[in-house]
Amino acid sequence: MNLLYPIRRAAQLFPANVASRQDDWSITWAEMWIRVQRSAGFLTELGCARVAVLMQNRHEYLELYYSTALAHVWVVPLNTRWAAPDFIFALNDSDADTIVVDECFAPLVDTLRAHCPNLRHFLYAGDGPVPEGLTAYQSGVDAAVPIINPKEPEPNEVTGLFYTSGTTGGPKAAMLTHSNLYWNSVNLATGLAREYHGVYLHAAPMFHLADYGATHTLTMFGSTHCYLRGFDIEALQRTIETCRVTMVVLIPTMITMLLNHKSFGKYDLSSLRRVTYGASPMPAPLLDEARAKLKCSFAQGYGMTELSPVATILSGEDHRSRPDKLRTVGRPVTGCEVRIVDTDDNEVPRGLVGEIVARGANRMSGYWKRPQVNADVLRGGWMHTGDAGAMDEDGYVTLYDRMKDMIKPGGENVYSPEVESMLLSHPDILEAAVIGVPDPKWNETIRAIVVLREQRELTEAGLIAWCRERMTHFKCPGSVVFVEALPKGGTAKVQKNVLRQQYGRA
Amino acid sequence: MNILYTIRRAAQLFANNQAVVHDSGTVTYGEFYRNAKRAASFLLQHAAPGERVATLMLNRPEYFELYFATAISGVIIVPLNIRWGLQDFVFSLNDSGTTALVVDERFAPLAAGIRKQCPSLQTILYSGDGPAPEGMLDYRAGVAAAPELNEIREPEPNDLAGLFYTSGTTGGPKAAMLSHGNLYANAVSMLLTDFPESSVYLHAAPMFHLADIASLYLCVMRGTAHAFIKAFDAEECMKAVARFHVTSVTLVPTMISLIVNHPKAREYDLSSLHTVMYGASPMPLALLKRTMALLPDCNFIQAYGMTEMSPVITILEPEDHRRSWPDGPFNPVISAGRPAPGVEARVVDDLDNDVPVGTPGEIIARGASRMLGYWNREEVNNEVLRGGWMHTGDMGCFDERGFLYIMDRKKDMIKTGGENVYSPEVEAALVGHPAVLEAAVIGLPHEKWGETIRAVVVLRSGASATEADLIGYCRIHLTHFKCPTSVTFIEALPKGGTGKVQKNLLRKQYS
Repeated sequence: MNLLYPIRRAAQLFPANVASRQDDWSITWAEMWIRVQRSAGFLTELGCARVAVLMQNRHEYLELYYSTALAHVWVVPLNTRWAAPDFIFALNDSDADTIVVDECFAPLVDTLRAHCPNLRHFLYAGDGPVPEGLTAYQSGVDAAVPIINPKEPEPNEVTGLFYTSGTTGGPKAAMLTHSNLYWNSVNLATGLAREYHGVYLHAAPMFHLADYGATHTLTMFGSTHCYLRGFDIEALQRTIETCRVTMVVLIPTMITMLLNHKSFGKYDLSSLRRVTYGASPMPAPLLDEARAKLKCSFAQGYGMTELSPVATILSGEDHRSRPDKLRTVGRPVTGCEVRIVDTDDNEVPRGLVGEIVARGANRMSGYWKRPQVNADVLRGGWMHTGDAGAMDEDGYVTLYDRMKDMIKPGGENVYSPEVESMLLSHPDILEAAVIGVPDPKWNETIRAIVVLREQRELTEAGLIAWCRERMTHFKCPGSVVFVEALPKGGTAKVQKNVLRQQYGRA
Repeated sequence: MNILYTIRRAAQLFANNQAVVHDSGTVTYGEFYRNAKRAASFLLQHAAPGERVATLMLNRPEYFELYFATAISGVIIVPLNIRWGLQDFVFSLNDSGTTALVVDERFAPLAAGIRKQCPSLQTILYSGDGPAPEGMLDYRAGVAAAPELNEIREPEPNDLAGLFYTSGTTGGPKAAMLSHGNLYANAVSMLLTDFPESSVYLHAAPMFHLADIASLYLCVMRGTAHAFIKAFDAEECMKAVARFHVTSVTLVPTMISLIVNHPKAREYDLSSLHTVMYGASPMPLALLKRTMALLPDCNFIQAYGMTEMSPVITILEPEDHRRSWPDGPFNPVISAGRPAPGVEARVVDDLDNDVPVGTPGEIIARGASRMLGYWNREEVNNEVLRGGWMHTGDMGCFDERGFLYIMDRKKDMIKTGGENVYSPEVEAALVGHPAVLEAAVIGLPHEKWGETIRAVVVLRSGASATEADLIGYCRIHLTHFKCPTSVTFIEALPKGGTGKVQKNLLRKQYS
């Protein structure tokens, strides 16, 4: 199966449904399919092979996901939170020959042109007039000859390179195939198809699999796509109200921001039927508050780009009927097999912590140009996630830590999130991260890197003593460094590798 | 993905759920998986991976186990049609080159005769009630003594899982080769529709048939328990529903009619039943309404498909049944539903070009659930799978909402004076006559009109009607060119394995 199937299905069975809606403009699935065919014709006329996309969320992003697939061109979506050196690296690493930008990223084009010798086509798909030196995407599409009878992509054909944020070594691109993305879109909806009928708001960035992963599911059912450019609480609510949005993906911090925003209550959010949140479990009080105020169903997904991306889901039903499972990331989705293994890749008994591994038709074919890394992370056919977790008797998975962030003082395993959440409960602490520091006696000891709230004071000894009153001794930091801010990567994750470099010496 | 995944998933996530509920006891999914691994190593004592093991049994828990034991061991399962006669069994066992055959008490008496005529058949296993007859190995005892198979080769999606003979109203029987990926994809397609969660599924339709197998894997993936009746009988079915608190079942419309019209229909507690799947033929609207009245809280799902598509092509979802649609020829309730997610279906002309919405043509389909091909039928495969699409041989048309209406088998369509006549329409008119029990129409060659319509009719006992009566009756109810010009009265219509009228036989005898 391939990515043309979902859009052909929408055009065949739901031709009159609204496919895409942006501001006052909208388009039906019948029209959308024709536009995609023209866009593919345009890309083919240009002779593109790899099309990088550097845009905020907008209709053209969706169109390009389909037209690149139709034209047998690889799409290379770039992380909008990166800086110029990251773009240059990814454009050169992926051998991109074409880049599509919007008004937000057009000013960067000269820099990219200077540093990326492979780039030949610079397309503009943003608001307003086309800046000098860029080619208009829109008029190119309008003038192009549509591709009507495409060569059907093979399931194992790569459709795009998806860079992972790179808290682990430099950024690398997961090669995702038609089949990977198709089966992910099927896996996450198996048994839950009704939830994907409706109006979806692309609120998380569209380059990211957290958002892109559900795209084809929605299309397959003739649902409507709408867009939020950057994350703005008021715009989020306004769009939900005007487009009667039924489903959106948010991260827990965004939900907190929404519920506490001064404008909350001003807009009609009653169309929302499901909020999906990801990356981290939601604290129970926040979840209770969110359910009470938004009156919709909540679901959580856990996954990674390399799995296209979904591995487990804590469903709406789980949220309603299994309060005992709310600390977990749910159960493996249908079609993705998940196990917890030890360092020899043997399955560990239920309840014990090990590395989470996963496989299925959604597993990437590998990292682009990284054969050695592939041989390691895909050994035995399983994607080794690098996440530490445990599975209970009912198959629910609890996430503990990144394997490499786990600290081993004196033969014990300490999961950094546990220590960090304890530190964060201290009234004077704004942010905290812990790392392991080499120690001749204990092998490793724990060092806390702490950002204090404004105008608060705290001593190293005071904080260590505070921890010892509240936590098992071996989990407590042995040293504390106070800093102004924690270094963060593209998706706001703390970059522990940077912390280890700066503060990891004994 | 493959079939092993479905059972591993059940064992991982639903180990303590019941897999089998039966008079002989219950089995959890944890136990079921271990038993299936034992059965797999037992099968490997009698057949090598890639060799064929046929099953000839009524419904029972061992049938369920064998679908997984064969998959785990890499042996190819060949489920035989229980309604066939000896010559068909012999043909299919030889055609498939089967090594071992599993029979129950019903079919054990045929085993000796079969063995004589099937040189490749080396072992007969007995998995029925009571002790194993002489010359057969006891399946249950063999499985109990076998170790769990632990060295399991992970099948590729395109690896063959089973040979499924199609009933053969079209030429002799031939086997559709269904792969692991085919059967898995079908289960997922069904779960992408509005398919309610179910706790107990009843195997009431025969388990050799894809109509029933379609639900088998998806029930496993969800940790649903399986209950069984040996063969369909309206009262047995109702008894089982009440006894095992059955929540879902697959039936063909004839079975539904037998239940709804049964004098004891309201004596049994059928309230646990919340999903009824039906297929093989559309349900007459009147029957559907009566059934919905008997089971007011039940969800109805219709599936249209064929063995070659593993089997589902389109699905009419519960919501489609509940909505009130405008009356007319395009009322979705009488359609076969929309293409299931994951299945692509089109309606085309003789050159495989799409015909416009509302225009009849041949239904073609593709997707991950399309068979690999027919076993040893290279030429037929080139024809029916041309362009990658399964040419169903069914005539149908789409409405503008994407609902598909099945009109006729392409070869049963009659072409008279340049007009296409779909036989079910004429047959429906004929059975509207109070004296007619059953009717089938065929085309006779005609010099002037190309073809002319002959009706073959079975009258109700004690009733009478003449040829002129029936032709006259049709002319009131049908456009002139759709009316039969001759009528033959017979005692019974010849029927194939799944109760379909064998028009090829009628054509041979009456044209």
